[in-house]
Amino acid sequence: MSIAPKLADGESFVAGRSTRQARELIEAAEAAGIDASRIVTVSHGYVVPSELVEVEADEAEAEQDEETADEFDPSEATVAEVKAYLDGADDTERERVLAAEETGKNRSGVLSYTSEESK
Amino acid sequence: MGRGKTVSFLRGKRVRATKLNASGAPLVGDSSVVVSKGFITIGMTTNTEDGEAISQTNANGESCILETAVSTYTGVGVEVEFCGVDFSLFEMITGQEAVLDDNDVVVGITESTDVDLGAVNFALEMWLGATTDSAPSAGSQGQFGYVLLPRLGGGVISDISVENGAINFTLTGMSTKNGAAWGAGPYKVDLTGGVPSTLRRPMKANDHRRIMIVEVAPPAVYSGATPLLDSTDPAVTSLTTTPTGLSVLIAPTPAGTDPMWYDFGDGQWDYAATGTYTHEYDAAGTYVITGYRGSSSVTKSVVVTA
Repeated sequence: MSIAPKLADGESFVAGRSTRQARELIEAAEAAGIDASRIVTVSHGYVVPSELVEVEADEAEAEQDEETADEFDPSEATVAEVKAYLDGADDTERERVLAAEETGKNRSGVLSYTSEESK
Repeated sequence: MGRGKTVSFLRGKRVRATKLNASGAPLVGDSSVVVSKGFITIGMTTNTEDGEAISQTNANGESCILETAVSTYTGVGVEVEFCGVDFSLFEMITGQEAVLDDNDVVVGITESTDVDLGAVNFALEMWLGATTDSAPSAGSQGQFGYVLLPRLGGGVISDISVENGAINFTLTGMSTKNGAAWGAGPYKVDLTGGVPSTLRRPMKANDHRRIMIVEVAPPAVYSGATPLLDSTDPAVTSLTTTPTGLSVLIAPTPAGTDPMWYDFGDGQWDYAATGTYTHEYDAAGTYVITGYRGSSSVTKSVVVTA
């Protein structure tokens, strides 16, 4: 059984209810210049103006982009620089960088790196 | 000091528990208040501490110093026996974790040794039937006995007997504490100038119990824990209702996103953290909706059609 209420054009449903979630939706609407009184509580969540969901999605994407931008990109570094970076990285980060190298420049000098080299 | 009323109290009509914060003040929140009439007895035991008598005889065997012991009032111990089990009330009083179903409705309680009863704080109010020797005041909604314990520490669920008969639950071990921050309280229980108001004489920090006559009717009973709203939020003056079939959009005036809660008039209620709410009725009909914001309330009749 669906818990989503019937929605009019321009409305979206945000499932789940908590005082904190309501406050965050109101703050997001106010920050985006959307009339927060258009956010309606229903039994299993909130009916919000669709533009609010779009704004939140854009913000999440921008946040993701920002996180990605801060990541080390092996394609912009020399083999020696990449190896030096991998020496100081944890296992998860090593895996990510090596995977990025594989799908990018695919340099054998980088791909042959093992953590033993740093020891 | 002067004129007074004499009163006979009979029967317990209602009990209301209100969650308190660590400082003993009523806790504003979406599940801070439980009203019940499902109790059989509320036992209150006065606690005292015996003082020490001082007695000294002189060398001749006569009494030289004699100071009798003076008992000190230390508060009230409380025990409540319930016939109707409201687990939200049990959660509030015991601090134990409520069990929710998949609609977030409280359907049970889990008892754990992890709970620190010293950190559980709540206030308890009781309404009693009363007959007095004086006529009701202007604006009176009836005369009732009112007992307020402004700060209680947590209790536990006592022994349970499962047998061929009604199975009742008793909460025991609650006792009043110093440091109440109830003040005049968040509720309109007293009558001032013919109009319901908060307590005319606020409770002080070390007041443990008040017993008095009030002329404001006891609160309505709702299932589960209802919200305690921030009394500084703007008063609601009216409701705008927009029915669409069995669904009704309810919006407060003045508009805003301050929390409200609504009694939909069909036996259901809900908290609207955003102020505005859409409720789906089960059947066509005319319903009276009551909306609460801050310490104000307003009603509106609505007709819904299938």
